Amino acid sequence: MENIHRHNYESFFLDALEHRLSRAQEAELNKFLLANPDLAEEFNSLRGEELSFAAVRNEDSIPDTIDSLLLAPASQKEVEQLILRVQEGDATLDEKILLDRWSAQYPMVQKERALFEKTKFQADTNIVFETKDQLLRKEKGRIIAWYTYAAAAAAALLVGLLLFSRTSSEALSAGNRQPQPPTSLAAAAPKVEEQKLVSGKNPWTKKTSTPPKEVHLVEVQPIVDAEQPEQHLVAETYVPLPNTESPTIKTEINSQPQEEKNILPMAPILQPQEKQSATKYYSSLWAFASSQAKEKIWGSASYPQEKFALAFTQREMQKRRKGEAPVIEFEKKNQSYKESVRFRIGKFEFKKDL
Amino acid sequence: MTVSDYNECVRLHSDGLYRFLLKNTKDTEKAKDLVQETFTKLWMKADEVSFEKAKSYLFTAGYHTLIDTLRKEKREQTYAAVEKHRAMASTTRHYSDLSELLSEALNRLPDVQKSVVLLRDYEGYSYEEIEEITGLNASQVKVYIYRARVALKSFIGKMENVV
Repeated sequence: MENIHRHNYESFFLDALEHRLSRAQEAELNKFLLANPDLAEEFNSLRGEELSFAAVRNEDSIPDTIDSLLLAPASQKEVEQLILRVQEGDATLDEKILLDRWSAQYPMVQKERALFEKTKFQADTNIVFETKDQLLRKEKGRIIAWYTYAAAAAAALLVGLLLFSRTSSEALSAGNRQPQPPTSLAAAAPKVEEQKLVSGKNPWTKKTSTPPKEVHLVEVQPIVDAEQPEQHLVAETYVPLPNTESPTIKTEINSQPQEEKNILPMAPILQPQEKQSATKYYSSLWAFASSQAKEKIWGSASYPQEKFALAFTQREMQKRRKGEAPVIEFEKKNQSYKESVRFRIGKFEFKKDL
Repeated sequence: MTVSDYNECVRLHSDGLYRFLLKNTKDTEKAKDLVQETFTKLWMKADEVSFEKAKSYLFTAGYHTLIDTLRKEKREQTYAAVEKHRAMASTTRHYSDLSELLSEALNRLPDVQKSVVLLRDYEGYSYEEIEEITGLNASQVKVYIYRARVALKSFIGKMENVV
């Protein structure tokens, strides 16, 4: 920048107002203003001495030198902006020096700066999220182990059903006094399906092509009480049965499971705990659902009133207690399989593609 | 992100996220629900979100869930409740320390300003990071922080003068 004179001082004035002059240029401007009092007056008027900050500043601190006038703040807003730039780490070195000088010179600036310092929040590290264990997920190895136990339990139950079915068949044959040839275990399973279809009580079941599906029903007790959720601590939940021949296991629960005949007691996935709160129960239930989603499917929880929600909690339950029950739906990534499982836990009805 | 990565995220970031959401909501149960919902979202996106980006994802998802919740609550809030709140807010009261005074001042800020200031102060996020989390642009972030600080400063100054 060239030297300041009466034909180019405007650009210096503007740069000075925007604090863009170097220290040397500031000194040169000060000398120029001392030599040209009429322009010094013009400069001061440009700086907006009539603005609020100048009006409220301490009279004792009004500088009597041109140099100090040059560095004096023009308005409260200008001071605030400079303090904030420095506080937020956005200021240049010159701006920091300027603010320090203002602070030393003007009590008002010092006070403003102290007040702005107080607006910084400090996180209280004593506040912690205490229920982290509810958020943690099980390692894959543990999930596999869980499935192993579940598969073993389910297989045992299936064998029990087949034996029961054969015993019933023999008893019926004996009652009718019409001897029948012994029924093999392999032939028993389709009969279960046929009995189910003939009964016509289950809207989810439809006759499909081979391989035949096995339909099992789980009797589920309501787990959510509108007023005393802690009293419902135990819930029957669905355990997928292994089927080496076909993945098309279909399990369902209709609204009146006690009327169905083919009811299998399933091992609970979630171990009920004494005094388990509804929130913890839903959290663990959601952990199970999410682990299913993580392993095989992607999942979403949807509510009738809303398009999408991911987790249901006690709070949400309370909100929707008077409304329709939320429905949790899982859909498999590969949509070629349309076989699904639906089950109900308390007010929740689950549908799961396999 | 592996399961162990996810669990590490829980250990590393759940406290910070909880503090951020608690300060915004002033309701421990609600903050806990939001933390749970946010981590569930992270879990569902575990295949897409890397461990390094997890914190940013958590605060982004947490922030948007928070804003959605607050907006929904405001819609449900009755006129009478708003008037009652205003009446209570206008009542002069005494504050035991600066922290309490500052909390009161914070509660008077618009939700967006409150969030950006807390992201800045609690987590030390840069303007760019706050921009990414909130979806605001850089100018908006700066302006909101500036306005929030001025409002906080004014409130504190006024209360100190009263005392």
